[in-house]
Amino acid sequence: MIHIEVRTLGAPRPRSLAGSRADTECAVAAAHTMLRCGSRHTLGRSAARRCAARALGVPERSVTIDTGPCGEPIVRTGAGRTIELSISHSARLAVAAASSTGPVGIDLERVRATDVQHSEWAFSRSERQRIARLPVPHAGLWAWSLKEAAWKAWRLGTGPEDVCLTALRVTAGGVASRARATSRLSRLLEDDAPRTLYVRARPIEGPDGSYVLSLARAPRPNTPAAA
Amino acid sequence: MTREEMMVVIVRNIQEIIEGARGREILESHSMRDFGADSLEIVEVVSRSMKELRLKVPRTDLSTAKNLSDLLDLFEKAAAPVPTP
Repeated sequence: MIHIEVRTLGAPRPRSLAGSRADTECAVAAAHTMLRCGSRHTLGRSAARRCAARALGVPERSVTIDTGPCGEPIVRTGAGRTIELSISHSARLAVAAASSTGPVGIDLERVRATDVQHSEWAFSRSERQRIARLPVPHAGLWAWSLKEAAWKAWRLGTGPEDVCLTALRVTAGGVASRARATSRLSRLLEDDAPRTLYVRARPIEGPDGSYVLSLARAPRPNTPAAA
Repeated sequence: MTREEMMVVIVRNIQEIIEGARGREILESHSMRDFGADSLEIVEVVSRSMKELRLKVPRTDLSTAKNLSDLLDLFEKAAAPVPTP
């Protein structure tokens, strides 16, 4: 099961967090709206702590979020169980996802005009061709968000260039794709790590406009392996 | 194209694309993250700068750049004329 928490910069603190450390961090984030970068980071950590506590079934106060060598969030808890965690923030929203059933990656992008779909750095030639055929506004931004989510789920590699979107398509709720680890990334992954992930993106509304929220997860055990 | 001219292009793109960088002094030692850039904004700045400067830097090399100085090093390397045998 995957738990997701979304937080808004400057929003009133969630009632359910009263008295916890997350509550304090939320209040700090709200009070320092001008320091957007630092506030978003704090807000993301706050959402992550809440998410991790729900996934582990433990009180928030027993969960600490640390940072790993590649900047990835790591959950420390006295409960002895481990979960996967991912955080993202963009403009005035922060989001976190926690999974006790395999890798998870999350990405958030505020929707705006961009020409990223033409970027040779962001996308391979075949990906750019797939994006050009995707019948949605801001197709490049959707694809970028999917790719970021997948890359974050694997937690390794040098960047999104280690991930290939192989089956971009429009779904009822947004956009989805399979994401394949490149051979370079595959060599870095543990033997039992999935080499293909499913990624779904959907629109969400924030206080300052629309956002794209993408979530990457491993295929379910009874799902045929993706090509 | 000198390093200073490349920096002018990068700074202009940073200020156009990254809201938190507008009106701020931008130095080679800065990272785009220092101005609150998200991943998409970084991609846009680098992609647009490479296009304007007519440079091609391998994607795996670009990912190693930690700040603007590293990025300029890569751009300078890409712009250097290939020695003829």
